[in-house]
Amino acid sequence: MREKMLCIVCAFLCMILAGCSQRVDNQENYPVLRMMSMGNEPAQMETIYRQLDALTEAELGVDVRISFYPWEDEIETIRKLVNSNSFDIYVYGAPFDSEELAHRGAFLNMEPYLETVPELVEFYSAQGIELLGRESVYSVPRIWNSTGYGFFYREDLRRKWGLEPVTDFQSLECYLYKAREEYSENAPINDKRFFTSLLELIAGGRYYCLDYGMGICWETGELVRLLDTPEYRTALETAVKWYRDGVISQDILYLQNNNTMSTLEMMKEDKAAVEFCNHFSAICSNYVLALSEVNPEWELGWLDYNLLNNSCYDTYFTGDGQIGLAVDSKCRYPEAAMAFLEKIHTDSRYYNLLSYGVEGIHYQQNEDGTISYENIPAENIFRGQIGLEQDTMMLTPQYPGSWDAVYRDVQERFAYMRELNGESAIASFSVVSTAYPDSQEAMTAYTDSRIRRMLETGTMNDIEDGIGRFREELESAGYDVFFDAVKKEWEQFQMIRGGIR
Amino acid sequence: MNKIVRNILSGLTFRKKIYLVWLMAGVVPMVLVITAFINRVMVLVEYQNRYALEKNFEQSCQAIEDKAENMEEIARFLLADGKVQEAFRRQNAGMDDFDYLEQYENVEETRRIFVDSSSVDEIVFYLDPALPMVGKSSGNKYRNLDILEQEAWCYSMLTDGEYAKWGIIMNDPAGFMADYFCYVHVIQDSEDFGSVTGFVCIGLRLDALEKLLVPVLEEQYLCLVTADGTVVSGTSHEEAFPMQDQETYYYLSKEIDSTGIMLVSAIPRSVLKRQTIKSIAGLSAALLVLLGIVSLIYGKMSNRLTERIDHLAAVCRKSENGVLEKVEVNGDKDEVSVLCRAYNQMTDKIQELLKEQYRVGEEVKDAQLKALQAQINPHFLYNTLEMVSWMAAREDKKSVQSIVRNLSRYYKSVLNKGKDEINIRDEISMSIAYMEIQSCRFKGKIQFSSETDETIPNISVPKLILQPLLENAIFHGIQKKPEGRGSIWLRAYRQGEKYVLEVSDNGAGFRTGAGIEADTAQGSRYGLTNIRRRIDLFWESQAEMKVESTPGIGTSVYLLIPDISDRKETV
Repeated sequence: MREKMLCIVCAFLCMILAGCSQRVDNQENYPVLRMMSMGNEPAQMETIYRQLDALTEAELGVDVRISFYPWEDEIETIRKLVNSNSFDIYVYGAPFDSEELAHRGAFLNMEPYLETVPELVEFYSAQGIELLGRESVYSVPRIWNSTGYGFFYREDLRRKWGLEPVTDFQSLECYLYKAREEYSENAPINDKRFFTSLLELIAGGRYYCLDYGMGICWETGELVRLLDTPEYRTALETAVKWYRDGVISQDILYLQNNNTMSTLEMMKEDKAAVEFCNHFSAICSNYVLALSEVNPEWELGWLDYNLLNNSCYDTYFTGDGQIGLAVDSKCRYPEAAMAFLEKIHTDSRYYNLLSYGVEGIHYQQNEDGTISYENIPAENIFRGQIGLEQDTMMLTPQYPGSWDAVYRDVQERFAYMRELNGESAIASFSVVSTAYPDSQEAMTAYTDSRIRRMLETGTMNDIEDGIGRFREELESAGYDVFFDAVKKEWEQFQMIRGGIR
Repeated sequence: MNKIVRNILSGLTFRKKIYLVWLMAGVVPMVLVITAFINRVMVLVEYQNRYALEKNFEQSCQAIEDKAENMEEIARFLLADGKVQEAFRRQNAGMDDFDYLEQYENVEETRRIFVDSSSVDEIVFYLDPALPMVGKSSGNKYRNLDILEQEAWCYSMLTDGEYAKWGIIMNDPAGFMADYFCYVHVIQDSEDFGSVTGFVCIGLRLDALEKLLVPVLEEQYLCLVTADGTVVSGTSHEEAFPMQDQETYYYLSKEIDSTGIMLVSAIPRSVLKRQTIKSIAGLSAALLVLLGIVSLIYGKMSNRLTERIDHLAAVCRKSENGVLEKVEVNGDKDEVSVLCRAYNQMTDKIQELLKEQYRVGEEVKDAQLKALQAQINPHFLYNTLEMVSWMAAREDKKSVQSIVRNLSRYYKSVLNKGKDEINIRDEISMSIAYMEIQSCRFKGKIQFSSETDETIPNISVPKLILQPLLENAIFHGIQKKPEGRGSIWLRAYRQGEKYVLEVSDNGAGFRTGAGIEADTAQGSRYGLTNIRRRIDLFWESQAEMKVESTPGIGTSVYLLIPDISDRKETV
């Protein structure tokens, strides 16, 4: 009895003391890895964090928090974030001058940490990418097992307008002109990056287009300046024509951001009927589900530029200068960051959480193993991008309406072509020359050229004059020497790897 | 009143009295103190809640004012930039794109730096459409001034001479700035200050602004409201906003600098009250639980005390019915234990006394029986009567007369109206009468003499305490001598604080401790033990009997009687 009373009193005193004391968060505080990604943050992100924390805290001893940045001027955004050491892990979803930033010490050299992440090394090795044996590894390249850019349009409108199926440049152009006519308020092309897609569309059959105005001829395997090719001129003429005819927005020269998200908004409001330059993955995750929710009756179509030009290969991966995942050089927990990268590449629990979210909240798992988004609110759908697209763990989505058939068709054709073409010999070639010390100046001259911008937006009528002035500009910036250096490197590379096809 | 209280209290058990004391001295004061304490805490909590609301309001206000100031500064810096001014000159209208592109890039770079490096979310220019950079794409940040035609609040700045205003642009077809709290500043043509080429609009996202408006309480309205009462940002803005209802709401409002936008905080007073009660509910519950637990502990502890008292009371009640039980005593050293122990000792004593009483009662009965037998003493009477008969046959009239007179004196004192006690002189007189008879009987073989101190008061003594001693002296002293002759002395005198009755003889004597006390006289059957008990009972063990005897010399028996005043004399 006495013991019982003592227990009661002790319990009460504990209760009182607990009540008197300040609230103590009994959760252990773990270091936080900050990760940036492009896209929109899904609703109920906290449910993802809850599951992710359970994994990372137990296995890596850290928490991971992701900040999503919209697809506007993503290159500028990433550059700004990297410059300010804002995050521990960067996912750069678009090519930018990451190599230059890496050389300036912005990113962690992963080489000393590779032995701590054997599964990650093995994963890339299985893809034909050897991370070991290099002096420096500033990023892990992003595996790109998806087809590239293409033409996204409304199939129901095409039929309504009585147009031929969109299967080539001509039929595509017909659709653009009709869209221009029907949706006169907004020009069909309003993204300042459209020329890349236009060039791929026109020149992709002959050249593999690289950065900084270079391309590799499929037939000869020769590195060429696209500026000198007739296809480039044709593309410029097309741009001028389209601009003149209002297919391209009249303020294209003065646009500040990529108009990806505003185009989606316009399509949702039925004020636009086409997205000219976006890649299949973004279309699937961002556009299709959002538009299906607005109007399930809309039929959506896709013309894939890579498929059109037969430029699909087995395992496309990015070089240091392109897209991938990097760790900030000021990251306080590099081992944990590397371990996290290893997990998201090799562990399906991590992969699913960061690619699809939480089952039942952000997606639905079907009995056949596919996933779907039926009854999932649009705001819950994971539309971020953490740089993961791979065959091994990717879940097959089941899209609403007719898009599911489109998706499967594209995937089948993509898989067929990959198998047919095998591994691309140019995949790991970087146009950033290490032999030419002033290559950065030449590259900047190319990217910042106002004449090029005017030419490639169709706002310069006199193409001959423009090309002439552009050449002079590049020459004075040492571009020719830079090009020759890259060409030499390419020839050496080609000698080692063999033919490009 | 006191009588009523006394009556009530007197009817309560000890346990109830203890509880009553706890109730009155513990619970009631504690409840009063807790009530007073809770009341005080309620006042403090209410004050604290109001203070928190006011502080929160001030902080929100300050945060928004800081933002507003920052927006004004950005507009000033932006428009003071020479390259920006150059780009917005009206004379640039119709300029070749290539020539103008550099100016545009300068402006755009500056704009982007401000957007990236400051806390503002957007900077948009509404410009003369003649300027080359002005477009109509939804994403373009350099927009046609005409779009603002329907926004009278800012469009009027083109003509009314004002240079800056705050508001929200709702009518941009692309929805631009509709979700922004805007600072709109006119852009003057740097070549002609009288001419306005457009507006720069510094925007802060309303949802970002809303993040600054963090209500203290869930039910609190914390909103930015325009002059016409439109809620532009903040909590609960879908509901009807309670404007200026001071009765029902605790209401705070302040204009954000000179923006014309009011920050308003309103919370139903009932919620405030409820919040206060909610805040102290836990404390009150804890205090009441504490009181309950203390009462429980007190109850348990007092039970431990009252249980023993109850037990003691129950045992006492049983004792009233003659059942004497012992109280269980634990190792405590408190007063209750002392009481219990005392009670147990008292019980032991009573038991002992009762036993003694019983024993004494038995002895008294026995003594009385023997005394009665002694009183009658049939052998003595038979022998005496035989002697009288024999003397009468001899016609010894004188001796017969003497014997009969002494026999009469003897029996008169022996009977003494049935009383057990007798005054000492009568006892001595009776003893003398007895000895005179015996002297006659033994025909001069026994010499008897008596001496009495006349100063001895006539105190009461148990009846027949000398006669057995004289009888012993005759039959165990003198008679046991071979010649059968001897003397017997009876003396009464004072010795210190005591009176002594002495019976001595020069008979056969005996070794002390050899059993004379246990011996029984054939004639009287009235032994020394009996006399000892009787004097112990009579004088409560203060009297004593001493026996001195030497074989061949004789025996002396002394009765030492205390000088007790109330027994000194009998009436």
